[in-house]
Amino acid sequence: MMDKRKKINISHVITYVVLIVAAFVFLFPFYFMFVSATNSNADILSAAPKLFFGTHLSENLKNLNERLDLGRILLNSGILTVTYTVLAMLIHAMSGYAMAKYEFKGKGIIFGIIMLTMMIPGQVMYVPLFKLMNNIGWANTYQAVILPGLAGAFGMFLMRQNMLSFPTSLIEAARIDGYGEFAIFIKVVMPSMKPALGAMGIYMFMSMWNNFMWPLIILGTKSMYNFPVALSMLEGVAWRKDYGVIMLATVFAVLPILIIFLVFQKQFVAGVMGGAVKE
Amino acid sequence: MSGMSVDKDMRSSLGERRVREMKKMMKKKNAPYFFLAPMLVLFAVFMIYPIIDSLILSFQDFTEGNYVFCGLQNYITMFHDPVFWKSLKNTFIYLAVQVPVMVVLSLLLGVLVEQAFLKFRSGFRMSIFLPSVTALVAYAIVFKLLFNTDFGLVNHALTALGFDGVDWLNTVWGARSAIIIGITWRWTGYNTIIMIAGLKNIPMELYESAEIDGASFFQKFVYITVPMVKSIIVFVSITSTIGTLQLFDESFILTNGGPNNATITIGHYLYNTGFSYYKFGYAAAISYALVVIIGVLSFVQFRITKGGENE
Amino acid sequence: MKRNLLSIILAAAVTVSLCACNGNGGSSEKKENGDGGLSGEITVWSWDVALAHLEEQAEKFRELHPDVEFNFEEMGVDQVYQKMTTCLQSGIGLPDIVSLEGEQMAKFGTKFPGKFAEFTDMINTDDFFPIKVAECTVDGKVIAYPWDSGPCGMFYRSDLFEKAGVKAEDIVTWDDFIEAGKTIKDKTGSDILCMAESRNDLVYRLMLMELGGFYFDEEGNPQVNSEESVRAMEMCKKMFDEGITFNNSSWDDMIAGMSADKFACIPEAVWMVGSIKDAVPDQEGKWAVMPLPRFDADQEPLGASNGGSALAVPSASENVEAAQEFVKFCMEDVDANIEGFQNYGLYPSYLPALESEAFEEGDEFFGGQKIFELFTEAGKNAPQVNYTENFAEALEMSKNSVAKILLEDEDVAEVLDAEQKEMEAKFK
Repeated sequence: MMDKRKKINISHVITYVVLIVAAFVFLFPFYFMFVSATNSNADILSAAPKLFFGTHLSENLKNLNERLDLGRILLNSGILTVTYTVLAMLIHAMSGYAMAKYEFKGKGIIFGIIMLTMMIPGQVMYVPLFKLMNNIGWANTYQAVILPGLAGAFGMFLMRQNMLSFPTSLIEAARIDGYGEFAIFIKVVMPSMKPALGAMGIYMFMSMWNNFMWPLIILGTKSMYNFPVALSMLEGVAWRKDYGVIMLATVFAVLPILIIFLVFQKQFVAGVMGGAVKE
Repeated sequence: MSGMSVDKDMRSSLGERRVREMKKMMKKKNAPYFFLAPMLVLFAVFMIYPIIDSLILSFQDFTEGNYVFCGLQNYITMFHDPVFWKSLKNTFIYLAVQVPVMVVLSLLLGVLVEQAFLKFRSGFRMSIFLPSVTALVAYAIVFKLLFNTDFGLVNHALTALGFDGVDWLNTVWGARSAIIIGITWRWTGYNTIIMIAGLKNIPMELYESAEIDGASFFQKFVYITVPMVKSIIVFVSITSTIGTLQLFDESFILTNGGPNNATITIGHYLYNTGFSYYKFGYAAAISYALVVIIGVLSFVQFRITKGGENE
Repeated sequence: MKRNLLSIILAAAVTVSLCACNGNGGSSEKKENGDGGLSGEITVWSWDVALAHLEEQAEKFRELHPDVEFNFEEMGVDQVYQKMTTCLQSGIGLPDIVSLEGEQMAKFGTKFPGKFAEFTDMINTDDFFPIKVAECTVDGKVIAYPWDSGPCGMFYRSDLFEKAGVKAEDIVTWDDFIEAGKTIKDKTGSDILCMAESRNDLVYRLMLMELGGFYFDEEGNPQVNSEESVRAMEMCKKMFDEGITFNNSSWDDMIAGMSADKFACIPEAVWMVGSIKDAVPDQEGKWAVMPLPRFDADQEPLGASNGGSALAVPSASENVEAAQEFVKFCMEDVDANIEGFQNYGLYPSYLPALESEAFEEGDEFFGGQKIFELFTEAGKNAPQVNYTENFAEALEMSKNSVAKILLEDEDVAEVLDAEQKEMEAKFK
């Protein structure tokens, strides 16, 4: 009995060992970020930095509160990110579906052109986009941050790749049953795309939550700043950074992403596809 | 009489069916445009103008406050710019190592995390994901501490094991290796999440029947997992290619491109030309050179894999 | 599910449109009120302590000109440049006052001629460090007010010097310095200098300035293969070859090395005073400052400068007059300059302020040494170098040359000749 159990477990043990080592490697800098939020600048930058929680938390918090209006920043980041994520998931699931499951005129060209724009570095587009936004009076608004990002190809491409493996026969069957095209998309295809939607939700949330350069350029007043732009205020000048305060601020900035990750990763557990294919 | 009426009935119902079918056909024909419409509208409004504007900019020179048309001068300058070529070379070194490593590692980790027997699965998933959300400052400080020549942990470990310490951030290959380790650390987890989403599309029955046939872990991985997530592998390799070719953060923050431009990426050089040297036309030209390079590479990857379509 | 989604989108759309009205805080229309006094809304972009100082001065300014409103936007240094780059190119969204690094002013002035309001008739250039005035002058026009300055000295660890039996007074030339370095390495194990040879060219650049040279000549043509340049670079190489330098790969790395006694000296500008105090508070009393060593004992050296900022007013501002008055108000007030120095470590460029008692006091952290006379002297003697619009790129090239010569052991003259060629090709 005992022997048998041991034998079975060897591959399990290897799996656990690999994952635990990986988890440690992945976690360490993250842990360091948390610990440093409670330490002083000198502790963090010394040759042997403190790796345990220190006593500087309240002082860092006080400094941080003096410099940033965390509530306002959280609100800005929240509005930007939630709106963006919801719109992105809908728009990109739709466009990805069109690219994966339909044949139509111009498909290749449209797909090619949109994909190609994914490869243009954002930096060169800031100036024309900035002019455009100012011309339509959208400088310093939320929509100026949200809308250009939605035209990106990443989400469409991700959904297309995931939908490719969705059985076309199921779509045909639904058509024969008299479902409309939009109903097929919503009721037949989307439910089995939960894992992919989960991954995309995480990506979209993260990319907007961490969006820096474009918001910095287009947002003009402190009251509109999102987290990364506000955090850059703390950077100040190279020779006067207080890493304790910066780390504390980044901890605040990261927590919402973790919550979102926990919410979206539930979609992975769903794994509806298995059931759909059985028939 | 009666026969005729039957005939007529039949004809009309046939016609109705055809109309209905036509309607459906029409709908099916138009449906993709409907699904694409929001994306296309956004694209037309927010992408086309900036793209054209910046493309024109790449044929202009910015001097004394004015844009002057200069033909292909920026592109010619680029061909003679040693820093451009060096950054291109560095970027391709990262690419050659990064994409295969990233794809294999993220797929393996994804498979391991999704093993049925695993406990604390969401804990493992979370820790794998954490690097992609860890703040860049924390990441940069930790990496500099790890790779410091005199008091870095990595060199402590190496000397403890009897090896010589490496002057990580101050030698050409040391600094490059540090960057590659950095990127792998930061982005493997994110790609793993994408892989997991793809793995979830594989019907469990395939594994179950393979297990009945006595297939090993490796056999299952090669003959079931890899072909079934092919489209996702294509996705990860193409997005990793694009990501690596546009790489900026690591070069900018970890090594600042040094020593002697040994680690500078095109993305970093592009940033310097635009935001630091104020050569706006030249920066645009580098961007479009980059677009062409990435475009060709992605097209090749896409063709070889047929875009991941299984048919 | 569907309805939920729809309502979220609607809610989002409403929020977005509501916030849309938040748009650009426009500047006020009228420039002067009935009394002919100044008025208007002034937006200021600045960083960290510089911003804090301006905020305090704005309060005082408003006592004299109550109709002027201020609006401060704090950013990091890089962020100011990132925003300025976009705004200058499109001519939209510029602030009324912005702080910029002095070394970068020539680039802004040359790349965007006429985009910065002139101070030529407002400023008395004799009242400022000549090097700072040079930084702010483009095409004979003063387009910014010099603010804090960066005259350089040699910070050293008096305790390590003492332990090694080295006396700072005995170090006059760089050769003396190298000899002292060998002794210190022998006796204490610490390097004498943090040189950052793989990432920085500061030691070379400071030496170059001491010799009266720079990357560019007065007309802005590159001259990195000049006699002075070769001499400075060879001195760096000599020092490196003795194995007495600490190769830090970044600023943070230097701070870490400082706390671990890895090196005894930092050649840096006066603003380093604050950084050392912040980084290694437990080394109080162990630091001191001496002038940078020279090349020839019998030759009076020129001072060297690194960093420091300037205040500029984009001419697109709707309130140029008020903005300029405020800049002058802050920059030419002795008390304001002293407050900036005492509260925020901003070392003035304004000579009348530097003559006050505040700069004659000893500093406990530096063992009571009166360190500031030395810096003021260096500031007065620093040559008026021409930074040109190409400084940022030239700096990168120069860093690379240092790395090639020191780390890859390439020939000094050959590398500098190649650098000269590359500069000539790129800076046409």
